[in-house]
Amino acid sequence: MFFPVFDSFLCTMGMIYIMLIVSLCLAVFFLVIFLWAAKTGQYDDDYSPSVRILFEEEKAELSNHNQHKAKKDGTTNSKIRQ
Amino acid sequence: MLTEKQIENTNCYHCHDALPANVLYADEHAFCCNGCKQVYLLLSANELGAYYEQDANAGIRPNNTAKETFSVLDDLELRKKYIDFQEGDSVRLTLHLPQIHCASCIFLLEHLHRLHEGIIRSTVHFPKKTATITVNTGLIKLSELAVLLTKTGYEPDFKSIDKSSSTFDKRLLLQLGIAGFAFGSIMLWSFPEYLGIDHSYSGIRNLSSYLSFAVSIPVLLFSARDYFKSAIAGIRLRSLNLDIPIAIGILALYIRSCVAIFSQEGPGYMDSFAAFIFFLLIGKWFQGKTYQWLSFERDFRSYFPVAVIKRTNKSTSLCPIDELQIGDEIFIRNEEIIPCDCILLSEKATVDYSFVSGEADWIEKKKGDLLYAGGKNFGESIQLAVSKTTERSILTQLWNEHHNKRTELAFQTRQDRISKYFIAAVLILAIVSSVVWLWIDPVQIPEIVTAILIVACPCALALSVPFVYGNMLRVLGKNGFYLRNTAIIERIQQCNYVVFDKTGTLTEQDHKQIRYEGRGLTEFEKLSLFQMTKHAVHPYARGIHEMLSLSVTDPGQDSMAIEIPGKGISLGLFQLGSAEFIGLENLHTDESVVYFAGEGKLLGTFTFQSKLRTQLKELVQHLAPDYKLAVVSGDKSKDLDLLRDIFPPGTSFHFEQQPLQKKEFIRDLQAKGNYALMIGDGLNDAGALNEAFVGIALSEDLVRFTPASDAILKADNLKKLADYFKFIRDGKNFLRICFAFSLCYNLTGIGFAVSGQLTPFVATILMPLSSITVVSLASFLTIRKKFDSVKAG
Repeated sequence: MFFPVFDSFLCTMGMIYIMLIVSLCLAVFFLVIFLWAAKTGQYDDDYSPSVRILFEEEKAELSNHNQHKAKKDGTTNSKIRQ
Repeated sequence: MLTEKQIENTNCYHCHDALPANVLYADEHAFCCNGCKQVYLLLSANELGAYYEQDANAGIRPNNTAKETFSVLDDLELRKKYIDFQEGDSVRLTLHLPQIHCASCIFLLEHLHRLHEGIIRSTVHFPKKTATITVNTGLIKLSELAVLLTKTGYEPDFKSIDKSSSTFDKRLLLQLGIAGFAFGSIMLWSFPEYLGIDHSYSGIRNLSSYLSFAVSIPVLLFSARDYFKSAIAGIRLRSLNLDIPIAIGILALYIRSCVAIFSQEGPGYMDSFAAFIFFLLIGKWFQGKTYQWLSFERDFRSYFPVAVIKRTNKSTSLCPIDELQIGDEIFIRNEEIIPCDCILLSEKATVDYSFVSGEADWIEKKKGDLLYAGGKNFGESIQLAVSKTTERSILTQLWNEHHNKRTELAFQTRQDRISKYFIAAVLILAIVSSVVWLWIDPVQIPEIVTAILIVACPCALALSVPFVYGNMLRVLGKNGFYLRNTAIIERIQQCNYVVFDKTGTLTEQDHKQIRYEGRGLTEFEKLSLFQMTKHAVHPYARGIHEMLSLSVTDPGQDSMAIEIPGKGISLGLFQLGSAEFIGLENLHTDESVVYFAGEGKLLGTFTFQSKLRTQLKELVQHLAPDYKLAVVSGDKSKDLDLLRDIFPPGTSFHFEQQPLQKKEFIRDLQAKGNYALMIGDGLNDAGALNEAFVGIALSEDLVRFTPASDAILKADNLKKLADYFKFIRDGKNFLRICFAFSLCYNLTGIGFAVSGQLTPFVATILMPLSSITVVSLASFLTIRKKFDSVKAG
């Protein structure tokens, strides 16, 4: 009633045609993702990824970080000395 | 201060076993053995201490096994089986590590590169318990990698790599995905239809119909293919199975819908068609989720070494046991297993046949004697001449006879028996109603017949079995009883005869009751005995040592005891061993006795008696009313009195049975029309387990070798067996309830069909509704079962 243009027969039906195609595209998109995931074995192991994500690489990263820091400190120190 | 903390810790920091009398310490943590301590030190030295924080159950006590077996991995020819990929020095291989059990395992195995620079990358596959490891063979040999893994507690198992199961799962997932996609899409497009769209909108109707048709083609050709295949196979073999009415229903649905689409009457029943396949596949998927990490198919190959050292001319080489020829000369080292029947070429050998006979059974052999396959060599390396190939050896022949003739095909499941009547009923109904409609309106007959075939399609019926039995499988698995698949449930329901093995099944495998007779021992004698048995390998000596470690508080210095394998141990003036070893006449012929003498005089004897498992009496009492019982044992009849106390009067006892005789005993029982259920634990029961209608392998821990069987039961849970059986028999009733419900839906649908009132809309509601009811009913009936009634004891 507010938009008399959309009230016409053509527009309502046209809308549904578009929706049909959109729904198909969406479904195909998800289907392809699912098939890809299944084929590459992502549903094989449902436990270890959940553990793996929690591994802390703390030691390696920390030492790297410290080295960076040391380097920085070193450079600043030398600058100061200069 | 530290000591207080240590006293509070009663369990090993690494493997969590209870601590023994002499505890080892490192960094404030207590360890039960040197192996555990070494693992801890290795991990903490490489900054992998976080291992213990990942999971409370982290840590496996490392085994002391022969490392020589890993040399297979350095042989370029033999290792091909395990290697996925190789380029130059870098090699990727997949190893089965049965000890993987928690988050910490994943943590440790995926940080292997910190333990050795030669290891580049490692990834764990948790459900399969495998690790895929990439190594630089220039820096670390593959056998060294295996030794490293063994040292940390993850000993690779070379025998059971199975790559077939995953491909099936993947295909099912793809089928499921496509069916789900079609189901969702078609239902969405059919909504205008449900809401009463009419012919004035033919454009939109036709578009959605043709789209539905396009989407349904892969469902018919790919997703539903297995049902057609199975139906055709069923018709060909003249054995009616449930897939036949399913296939008919699917076809009726599909053809009816195609007719509707191409005569422009709307999308027909395409939505029901896709939903139908989708639900069926979900049932199949649910049923197929079994225990990937347990192996039910092991044969002798998983017990024998992969390869042995063979001597050709003057060089030696590794030879796979399948390629051994009669007359080949082979070497068997300490603690290796003899892979085939052989003639001994060395002067003498001590062989342990405990895996074959079930008893600790050390046999002395002289040059020229025949050694049977399955024995374990103790002491020096021995040289043997192959007299029979592995396939033809006495023990392995148990497998070669065609025990599996009576396979799944011959066995009709309950579902299949029902489907016979089902098909008959549907056909009669279709004929009768078409005859009736001949008078009312003959034009409608094809419509009515297809409608009947559609609603009679036993979808809910087909879902009952996967969900009732699939749930039961899971409930039982949670309680330590692992079945190979759901068909085993129906088999157990049929069994009426339970046959037990004795050694290791009714009696405990590792623990024996030791009875001492003789004069009281002085502290010094006790201490000497303790020292003598400390490093002994014979299980009896170790048993005595374990017993003494409770009373000996101050172990003192290690002293040099001399052990002669299979005979006895001497230390100074003390001697421990067989009567022959000590130089006495054997007083006890039947029993397992160890003599202890000082200065040539007998001080006392240790008698080893089998210890029955706990609550065996209750178990037998519960089983006796429903089952006939029997005991077969490879042993002498020394424990007969012990067993008579427990078993009811009708039980038959058979002693001194060779593996082949056990198998024949089962065969005789079944020839008389019994359905036998065999429970055994060792290689010597393997033949009988295979022959029996249901074979249950008992296992102390699930990692160890279990013979091929239909089910694996944790040894601690033997006492719950009667409970499991009751639950499994209850399954029949659960199934009946589900069947009744699904038949009600079918009848309702047939009411609509016969009266000519079936519309796609009714089918769309009826079909998923029946499936969902059955699935939730099945879950409700089975999952609430708890096995705590016995647990309390």
